[in-house]
Amino acid sequence: MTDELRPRAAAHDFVRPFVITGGRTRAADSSLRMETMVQTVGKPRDDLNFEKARIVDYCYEPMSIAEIAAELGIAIGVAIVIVGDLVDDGCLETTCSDPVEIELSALTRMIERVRAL
Amino acid sequence: MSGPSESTGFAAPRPAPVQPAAPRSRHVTSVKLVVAGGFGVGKTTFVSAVSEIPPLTTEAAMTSESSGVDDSSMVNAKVTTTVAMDFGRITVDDELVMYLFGTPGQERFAFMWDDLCDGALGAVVLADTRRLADSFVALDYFEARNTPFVVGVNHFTGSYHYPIPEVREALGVGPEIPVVDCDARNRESVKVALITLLQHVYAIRSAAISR
Repeated sequence: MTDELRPRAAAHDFVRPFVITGGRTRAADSSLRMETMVQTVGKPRDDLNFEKARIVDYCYEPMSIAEIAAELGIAIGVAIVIVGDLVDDGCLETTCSDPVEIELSALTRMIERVRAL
Repeated sequence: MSGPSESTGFAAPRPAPVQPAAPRSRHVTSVKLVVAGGFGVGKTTFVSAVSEIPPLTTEAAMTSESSGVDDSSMVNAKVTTTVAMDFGRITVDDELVMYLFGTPGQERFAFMWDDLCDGALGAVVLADTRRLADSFVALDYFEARNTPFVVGVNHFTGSYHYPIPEVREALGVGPEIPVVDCDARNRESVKVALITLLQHVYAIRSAAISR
């Protein structure tokens, strides 16, 4: 079940998740969260490494960091670090969502949407 | 440090690539709702009942911050441990998306909850009447953080159907916290729980505004 620990195979099959971030586990921008929306901006670039290029390709439509992590099969913490790098590179824009800024009208829209499901 | 696969070539002509040709950037805001509760209480089922996509699974890798959480005799297991988290999505309109995240069930993963719950608009705590105590951790957590939450009482087949007031008393939640019946396998029932949460958040917000 998904709630359970997923035991990894033998040690040699395991790649430490933060290898692709050079060991960094935190993005410079601490406001990035799993639900932060990310969108590709700027001209296409051909100088990005594999993970970065995939993220840029994937985010022409706005996606959350969690969706990026699921799509690429990487841990959320890893996705946050790479997205932070791509924002610094000028390849991505993020929309931060602070719940205190959610207006009553947005709550009404959410309620109506759920009702219509 | 960037890896060798990164471009190291050209001293990047900084302003240039950032300029236009940009895809129309839409401003999409997201909100996060958390579904919490004990192990096996139906969190993933709850998410699938209303998500427009099959729930996605993502992993939160344990970093050094979790040191001391796990038994130190399991050092090997620790570095290879990831915690799976399921989430779903409900698109409200062009500008707003809701994400529903299920918390990892086991208590020993509570260290992850801060990341998960930071910025959450609210939470649904699922309680199983056969194991009410399993939801105490989640109740305490959201109460302490002042995160708005409602309780969904998941009735499993064959379990005695306790009346809501009794469950409320057993859980020790105050009268201001909505408690609803919730069958996670039933979409309408899950919708009611979600709407109850959103209305609860609405009531708290409008009270704060008019104060």
